[in-house]
Amino acid sequence: MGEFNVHRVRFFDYMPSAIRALAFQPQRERIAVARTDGTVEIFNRADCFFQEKVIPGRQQAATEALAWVGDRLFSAGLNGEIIEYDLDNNKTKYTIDAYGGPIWSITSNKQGTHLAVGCEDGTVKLFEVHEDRIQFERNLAKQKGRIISLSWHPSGSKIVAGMMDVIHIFDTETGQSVQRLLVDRGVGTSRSQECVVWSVVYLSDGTIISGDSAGKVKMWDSRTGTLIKSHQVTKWDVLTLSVSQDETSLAVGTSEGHVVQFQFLSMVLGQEDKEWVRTRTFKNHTHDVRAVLEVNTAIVSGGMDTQFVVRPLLDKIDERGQASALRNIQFPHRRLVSCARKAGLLLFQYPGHLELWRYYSNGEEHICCSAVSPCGGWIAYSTVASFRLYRLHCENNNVSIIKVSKLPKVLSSANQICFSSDSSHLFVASTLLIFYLPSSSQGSGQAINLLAASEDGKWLASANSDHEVQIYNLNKMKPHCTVPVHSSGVSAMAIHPTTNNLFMVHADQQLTEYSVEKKQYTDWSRQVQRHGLHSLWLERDTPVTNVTFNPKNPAHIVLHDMYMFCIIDQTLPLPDQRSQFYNQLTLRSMPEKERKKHSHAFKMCKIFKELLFVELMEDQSLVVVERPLMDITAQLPAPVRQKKFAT
Amino acid sequence: MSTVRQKTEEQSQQGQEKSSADQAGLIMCEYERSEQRTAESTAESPPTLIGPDMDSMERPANPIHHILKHKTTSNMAKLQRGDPQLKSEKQVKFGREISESSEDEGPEEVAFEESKSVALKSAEEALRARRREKELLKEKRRKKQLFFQEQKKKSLLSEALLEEFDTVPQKKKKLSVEKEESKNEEKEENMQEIKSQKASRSLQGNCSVMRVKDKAADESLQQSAMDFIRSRLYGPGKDRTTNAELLSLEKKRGANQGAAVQFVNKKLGAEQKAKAEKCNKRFIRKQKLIPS
Repeated sequence: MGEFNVHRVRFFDYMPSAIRALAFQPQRERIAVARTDGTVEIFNRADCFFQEKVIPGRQQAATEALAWVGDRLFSAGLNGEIIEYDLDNNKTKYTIDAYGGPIWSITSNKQGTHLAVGCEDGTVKLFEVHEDRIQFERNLAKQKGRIISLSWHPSGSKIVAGMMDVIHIFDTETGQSVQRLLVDRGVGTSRSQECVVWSVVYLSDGTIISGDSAGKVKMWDSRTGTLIKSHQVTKWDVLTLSVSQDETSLAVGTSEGHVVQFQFLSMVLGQEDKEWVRTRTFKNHTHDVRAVLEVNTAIVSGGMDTQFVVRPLLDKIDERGQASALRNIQFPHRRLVSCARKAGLLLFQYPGHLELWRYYSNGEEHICCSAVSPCGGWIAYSTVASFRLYRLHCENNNVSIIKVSKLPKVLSSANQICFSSDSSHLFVASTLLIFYLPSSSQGSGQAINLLAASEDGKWLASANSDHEVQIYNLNKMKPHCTVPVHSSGVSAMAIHPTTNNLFMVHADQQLTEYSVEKKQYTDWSRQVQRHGLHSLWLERDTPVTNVTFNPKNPAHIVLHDMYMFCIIDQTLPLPDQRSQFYNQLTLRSMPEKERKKHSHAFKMCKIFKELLFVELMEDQSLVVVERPLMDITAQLPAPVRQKKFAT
Repeated sequence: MSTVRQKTEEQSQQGQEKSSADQAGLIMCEYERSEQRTAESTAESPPTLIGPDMDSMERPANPIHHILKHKTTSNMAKLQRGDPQLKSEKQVKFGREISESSEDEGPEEVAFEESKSVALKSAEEALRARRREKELLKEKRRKKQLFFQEQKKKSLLSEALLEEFDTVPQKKKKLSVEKEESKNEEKEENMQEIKSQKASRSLQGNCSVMRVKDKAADESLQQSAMDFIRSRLYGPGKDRTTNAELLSLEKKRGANQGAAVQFVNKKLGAEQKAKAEKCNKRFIRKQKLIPS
């Protein structure tokens, strides 16, 4: 493999934001995640929880809740607005003000006809869902106190609202409050504070389950308005509840960072009378868990420690594999760093600004993608609403930036930006693929996630969230071919400088190589598919986010994910299932002759901490951008004080 | 003597007969009374007391007790003789003992007078107190009435000032605390209140009138909502610790055990180090360890 000088870069202070809400869409198996800075991310459960889309947020946004209505995603926040998202184009479709003050909760009914929002002024507002918009229908009876949580009965006839110290059941026909359930306050010091009912769930048999700030999960009978059972789950608050589709399992998220599971079982085997029994506790978070989801085979949770954790419920999964592993998604599945190879510059993308060794800030809107040209002369970035291109001059350590003002109006926002290798072309992708200088446009359906340009400037590859990869011929300005659709989306791709092979890494850790000129998979790729990849490679739970090549050795491919970086040598044989996968250290200890027998194509290196970016520069030096998780944890909000034995 | 007194008091209060020979004996030893007195006080035949001459002795300090005890001895004597009227008489007697004895003897009358005066005084005191309270309440009501009148005058005045100030340029000011707590429906009321408050303030100092804009109100609502969440999760009374402590505990009990993060990671321990530095400097200066 050779030796490299490594530049370890740790000054990229990437700080993810906390997860505030989760919502599951069963038909398409998508999980929507809302973060506190207003970003909405879509994860695909079927595709190894790959982060398919990221819709950046705004400065003022304070998203509190998410709701799916069919294929449409709505969110509501403390700024009093309901936002519908355009998932094809990765942006917001429109916002509508609910005129009720800050909105605490949003929920849709099972029939998909109405949305209910709970507001600060004590009203539950009903909105009718039309084809292209939502329209305000009416208010339910106004109550004293703010409405913190809502849940619709599966039949759509009743809504339960959790407020301060009290739970109200509304009849949606008349709009009046039918029942009032009083929640008692905690013991001790919490007696003086009102009890906040953070979350409620309405089951089809009329049971209401509520989680409140006294740390109790209470089961109520809505017909008689009485308390059935009360469980003290934690000393701190119970922040969120989620019930499975078949209503037999309940997930409870607490301030401690624990997720507790309740199941609807009969105490004596064989008997008919069932009740909710506390079964398991999962301790996968360090800070408050603010959102849980009971997806059928797993419990998904997210909170203030910014990690998206998937804990599979192994009693519902038959075989052991990727689906049964505990997943912890910390870094985004896209690149936040671009590198100008020839000029030796690094561009860091933050939500609010870009850093290119000089501070360069934007303002209100968050940046969705950015790129720097290989020669270091151009910077481009795009927010949700605008696109900016800047010309850089680096003279004697002074960087001056000139804005290019006359941009064609078509360039409103972009999902991906890519410079060609000679910096003469800028490729901007949104739903339309646009070439700038000279201009011409092609259309495609879904938003494009990834772009890769070839070194000679002839080819451009684009991948979108429908798992389609298209290759365009830039000389003729026409689409060249489409790569056969793989079951999993592409997480990173690049075109080889000399052979013009498109190398793709998928979310399920499969590697494919496609020859652009011959319009077919290469022999090496077929060999990999036949041979199969090593199990240790396939069991990695973070996707590869960057692929580059070695200028000195055309057979080398450099790629990395969060915990390792790897150089694949295409001349060496592929590893067997039984052979040692991480064999670099053993090889080093062997004599020269022995090494050739045992070495295989995958050379893995796990020395570095959590990686954001790895690039091989011209002079055989390696630039490694690390972001240790401990630094992220040190900047999070305060966790609760848990007393552990022997500390 | 005191024990005997208590016993006889009990007897008189309860109205029970005690025909114990001990008691009679005790009384006879301790008390002397002339036969004449007993003859005067009671209608029945006086008992014969064995004891030293009464006249030579001093009068006992408390005449009432003395009398009561004496009465019981006479009753006991009657009992011995088998007087049938004794019981009923005794009961009646114990009810009216004080008043009967007051007829005859000086000290008894004085005693009654005293208690009468005491009772009268307390009644008068009560009356006086009630009168005082009534007057106080009246005063309070009067003050309140005055205050409300003045407030009313003030508010009227402020409207007039506002009309004046219509032409004056308006400066921006911070919203008052009451504004943050208001809801949308009460916005207008609050706006008027604030206007009046600010106008009244402007009378006093160099303040100017400001109009509350709608956007500012929305932002403040959002801010108050966020403050509510923050106070509920991170406010006082919630048992929270620092991230540094969390990481240090993990290091203490984890697989690769090491020192607390404040000592390892320079950024985390920076504040504490700075504090320690300051403390050290202050200590050195105070103790004058370094000769200056």
